[in-house]
Amino acid sequence: MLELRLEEVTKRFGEKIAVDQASCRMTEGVYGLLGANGAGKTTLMRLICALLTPQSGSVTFCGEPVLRLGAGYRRILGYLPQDFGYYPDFTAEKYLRYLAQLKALPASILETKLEEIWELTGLGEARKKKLKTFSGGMLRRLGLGQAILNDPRVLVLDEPTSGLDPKERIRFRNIISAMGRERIILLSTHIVQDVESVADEILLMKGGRLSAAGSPQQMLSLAIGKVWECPAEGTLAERLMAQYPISNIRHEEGRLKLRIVSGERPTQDSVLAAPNLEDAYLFWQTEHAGQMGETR
Amino acid sequence: MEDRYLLEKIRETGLAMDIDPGLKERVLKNLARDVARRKGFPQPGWGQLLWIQFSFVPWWLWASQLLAFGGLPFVEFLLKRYTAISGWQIFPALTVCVSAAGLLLIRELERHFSCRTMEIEQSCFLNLTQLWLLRVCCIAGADALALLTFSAFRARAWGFGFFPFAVYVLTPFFFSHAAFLFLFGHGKRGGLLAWLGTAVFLGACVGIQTAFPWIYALTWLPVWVGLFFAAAVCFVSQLMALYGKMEGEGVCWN
Amino acid sequence: MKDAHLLRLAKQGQTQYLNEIAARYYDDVYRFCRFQTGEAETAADLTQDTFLRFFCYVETVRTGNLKGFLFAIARNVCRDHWREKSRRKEEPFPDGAGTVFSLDAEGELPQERSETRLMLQDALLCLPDFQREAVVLRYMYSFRYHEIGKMTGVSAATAKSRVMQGCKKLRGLLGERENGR
Repeated sequence: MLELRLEEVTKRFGEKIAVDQASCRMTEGVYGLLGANGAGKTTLMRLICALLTPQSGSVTFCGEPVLRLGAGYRRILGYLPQDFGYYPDFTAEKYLRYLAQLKALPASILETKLEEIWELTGLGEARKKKLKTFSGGMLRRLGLGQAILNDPRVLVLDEPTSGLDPKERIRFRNIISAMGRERIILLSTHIVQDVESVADEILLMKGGRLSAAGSPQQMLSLAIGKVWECPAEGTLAERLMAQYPISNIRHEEGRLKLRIVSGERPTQDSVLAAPNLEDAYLFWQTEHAGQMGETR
Repeated sequence: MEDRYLLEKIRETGLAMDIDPGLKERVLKNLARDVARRKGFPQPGWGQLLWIQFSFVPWWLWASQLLAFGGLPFVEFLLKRYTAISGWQIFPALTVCVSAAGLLLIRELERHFSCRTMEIEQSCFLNLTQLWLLRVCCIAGADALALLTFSAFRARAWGFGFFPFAVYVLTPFFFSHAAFLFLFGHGKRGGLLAWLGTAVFLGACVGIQTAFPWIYALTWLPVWVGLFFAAAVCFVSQLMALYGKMEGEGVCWN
Repeated sequence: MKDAHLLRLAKQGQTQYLNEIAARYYDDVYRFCRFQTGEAETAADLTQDTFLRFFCYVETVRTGNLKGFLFAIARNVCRDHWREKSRRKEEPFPDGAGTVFSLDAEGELPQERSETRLMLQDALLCLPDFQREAVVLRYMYSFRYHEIGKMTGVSAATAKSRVMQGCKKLRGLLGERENGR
C-alpha cells in the first residue's frame, strides 16, 4: 500500500504564502488538483516532489519524510513540470535516453520501455527528430513520456493537458487510465473537464489552501438543484452576471443563455439544469469561500 | 547502569509471547504477494553512475578541457616566442588562462538553467545537484592535474622551482573557481551582474600581479602557500554552500 | 546470508530476497508491535504494514543496520496506528490485561511468573509511547542509545533519559501493582 501524506505543509516565499497549511492523504488512485492559476498548485507539487523544502509541516511517503528519503524517493517519482525546457540539439530519443540514465533505469529494460512510451505517446515517428522542431503538444506528450519512464509509484503531473488539442487530450486520458490503479497519480489543472473522467478524487486549492472535495460524483451530487439556465437580455444579463457566479454563457436563437450556479432561482423563467463538474466546482468555490482549508 | 530486574522481566515477557503461526503465515503470504507485484530496479553502482556522468558531458566541454591540457604550452610558446616577457611576467597570462577554464565550466553548469531542464533533472534519481557536483569535481580535478603537469615541465624555463611555480598558478586557479561558484550561486544566473563581477575579479587579479611583481619573490612563498590553502578552502566551501542551496531551494528560485 | 548482503541483493532488484528479510525479522518486529499495542491480531497487522512500508523504500536504505531500520519503521507504523485510532475516537489504549495475553498458553511456566509478565506488559502500556518504545528497544533488543536515538529521531542522551524515566515509572507501576495485589 502506498501512502503520500501532507501534514500542515506551509511554504512561503518572502511575505507571500504560496501553500498554507495544506494537509491531505493520498493512496493509490488518481487525484485531480483543481485551482485557478496562482492558487499555489505548482508550489504544492514541487513540495511533493521534494524540490522545495516547506517552512513547516511535512510531506511523507509511507510514513517517511520525502526529503529524508532523497534519492530513493526520486527513484519512484515521475514528475512533469508545468514549464520545462529541453536541450535543443537533442532528439526525442536522446532526450529520453538521457533521462532514463538519470533515473538509473537498467539498460535491460530500457528498450522495451522506450517502445512502450512511443506507443503510448504516439511519438514513434518523431523519435529521431530534433526537439526544437516539436510542437507544444508534442513536447507535452514527450514530457509525460519521461515522467512515466521509470514506472513511478508517485506520478506528479503539473498541468499535463495545457497546450494539447482535443484529440491529444483524449489520448492523455487514456494514458492515465492505462497507468492502472497501482500508483498515486496527482494531476493539476485549471480546466475541470480534464479531470472529470479520470480522477477518483478531487482536491481543490484556493489561495494556498487545500481541501479534499471527494469524488467527482460526490461533487456533482452537491450541485444538483443548484444549476440554472436562464435566458436573459441586456441589462438583466448584466445584473445577473454581477450577482451570481456564471459557469457558461451561450447564444441560443439569438438570445443569451446564462448558466448560473445558485441556491435560489435567479429569475422566473430559469430552468434547472443537470450540473457538470464545472458547475460543481463553481458551486463548491462559492459555498466554501470562507472555509477553505478544512480537510476531512 | 541497567535495571537488571526489568531487563530480565522484559526479555522474559518478550520471549514468552507466542507467535501465532497462522497469523505469521497469513502475513508472510500477503507480503509475498506484494513482493511478486513489485518490479525491482537494480540500484546502479558507483562505477555506473560515473559512467553516466561522463557520457553526457557535452563535447565542447571536453574540448575546452583539452585546451587546458594542450593549450597552456601553446600559449606559453607564443608568449616566449613573440613577446619579451620573462620570469614572473608569465603569471598574469596564466591567471587569465586558468580562470577561463573555470568560466567554461560554469557555462556548462548554467546550461541546465538556460534550457530550463533543471526541474525534471532535479526530480530524477541522480539529481541535478549530484550531477554537476560530480562534474565540477571531475573537471576541476582534471584541470588542476593539467596545471601540475605543466608546472612540472615548464617551471625551470621561467626560472622557478616546481613547487613555487605550482603554488603561484594553483592559487589563482582555486580562487577564481571559488569566485565563479559564488557568483553562480548568488547572481541571477547568466545575468549581467555576474559577468560584470567576473570581469572585475579577473581584472583585479591580473592588476595586482602586474603592479606588484615582487610578490613572486621566494620570501613571499610562505604567504602564497597560506593563500593557496585559503583558496582551496574557499573553493570547497563554495561548493558545499552551493550544494546545500541546490538541495534545498536552488532549482526553483521563484 | 548476512543482512548487508541480503539487503544489497534486494536493492539490486532481486525482490525475492525481500521475502527472506520478512521471514527473518517477522518475529522481532511482531514482538515489538505486540509490546506497543498489546493485541496479537493488531500486532500482526502492524508487522505486515511495517514490511510493506519497508518494501516501498527498500531502495532508499543506506544504513547497514537493517534491523534498526526495520524497527524505526515499525515504530512509525505503531505511532500512526495510535494516531489513526485516537482520530477515530476509539479508546486511546487497549485496556484490561485479560485481552493482552489471552493467547499466551505456556502452561509449564509457574503461574506467578506468568502473572508478572502479564502485569509487566500491562504496565508497559501505561507508559507514554516514546518511553515505551525506548525501553523495549533497549531492554528487549539491546540496541545502543545512539541507535535508539537515530531510530526515534532524537539524540543519544535523550534516548537514554527516556529509557531511564521509563524504567523509573515502570518500577513504580509494578510496585504499585504488587502492593495492590
